[in-house]
Amino acid sequence: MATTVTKTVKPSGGDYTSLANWEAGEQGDLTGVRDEISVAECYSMSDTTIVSIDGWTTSATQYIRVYTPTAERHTGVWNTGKYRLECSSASNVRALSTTEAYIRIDGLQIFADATSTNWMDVLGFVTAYPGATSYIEATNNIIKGINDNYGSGIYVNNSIGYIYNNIIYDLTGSTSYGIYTNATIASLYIYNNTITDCDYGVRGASGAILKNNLLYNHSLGATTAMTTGNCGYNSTDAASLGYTAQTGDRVSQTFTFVDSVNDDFHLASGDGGAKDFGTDLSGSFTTDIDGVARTGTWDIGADEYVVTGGLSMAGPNLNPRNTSIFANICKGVM
Amino acid sequence: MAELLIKVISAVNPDPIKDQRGCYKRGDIVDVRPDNFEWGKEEGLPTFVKVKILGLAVSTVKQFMESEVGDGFVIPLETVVRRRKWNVLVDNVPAQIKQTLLTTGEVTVTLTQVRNYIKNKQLGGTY
Repeated sequence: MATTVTKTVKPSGGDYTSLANWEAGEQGDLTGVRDEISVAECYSMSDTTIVSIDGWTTSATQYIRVYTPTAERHTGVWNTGKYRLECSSASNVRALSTTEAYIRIDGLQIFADATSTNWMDVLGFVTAYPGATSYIEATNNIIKGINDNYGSGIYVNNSIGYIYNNIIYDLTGSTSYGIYTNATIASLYIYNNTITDCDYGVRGASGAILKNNLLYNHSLGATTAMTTGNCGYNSTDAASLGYTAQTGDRVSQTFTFVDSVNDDFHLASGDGGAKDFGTDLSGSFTTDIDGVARTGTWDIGADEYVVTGGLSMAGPNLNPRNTSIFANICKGVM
Repeated sequence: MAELLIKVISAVNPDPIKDQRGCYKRGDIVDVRPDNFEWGKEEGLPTFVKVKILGLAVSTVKQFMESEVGDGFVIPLETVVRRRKWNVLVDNVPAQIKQTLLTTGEVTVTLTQVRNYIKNKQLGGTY
């Protein structure tokens, strides 16, 4: 059984002073003598160095994990007192990119600013892995951008895995996307994300499965290139989701957020577009972006509404994977 | 003064393309910070050393963190082909500098002392 080796990323007093330096110091073969799960534990700081996680050897049980511990994690709204990766570039690049097949990114805040006419993705899983030879996760992150011409909030080339409980917004610029995937192998599960203020919410492919996503204020469309039969229980303010509506899909909805002007996309009590309209996906995960337990009828989007003072704080689901599903995905069963 | 964080243990990948593109090699410059920067506990020996260059601004040496990218013809310009374009020939620096580096993990030098040992891996010349 692999040993978990955790190193801290802190502005002072930690193991590494940036996530990029952690990657440089820890990169290697996790599957050989190391037999390791390599973990970067990120603490409150503005980390401005572009990160490329590359050159490693990983496996389904010996993988990379980058996360924020509970006390260092945002609560669903961008927080300058927590860990954030904030990068700008005048060339085509990604703020955080990886070519690795087995990697999990959880609880980060990531911002990308393309300072020229170039493109800039925020978070990118770059390499194509045909067949059941990969497993990636992007969960509970806040992802935002600006000027990202042809960029994406989350880019997934062709990998198996999960993208859930992320809040993604402000991917402006020419033809930018909240989530963009080329996934043609089964399956990339895109569940319970709140994606707002982009050109397109989601650009899909035949392997992308889209459920319980809140898609709001996208100038070119809620989705494009999605396979209709893979969708359901998504909700949008647009007149169309970009595919023929399936079970549970909702169009022309009015969403009520706590404070969308200030990028607080928690659902307000009076919301009638997403609250209690989702489908139960507890076979995959059970909490929302704040770590609140999802109970009863699920809400659509990254946030599960709770009555003030009645929080059910399960805490961030730091080991969220339903191990039986994970094992089956790696076997190529699902 | 700028402080250069230099990797002294090469990472290796059996895929030669991934090895060149992703793996830091001995002498690769990983990070550049202003003088008196408070480095982390792991940002030292045995994995890293620090070279502090007097009179050199961080903005001047940021280029040492650049990756080698595609030629724009066969390989797109934004595609990284080599992790770092620049490398410090840590094994070739003057003996006293090398001895200090590898025993204490850091050394303070002038640019004149080391510029001939900062090599451009893509073009072959020195800084």
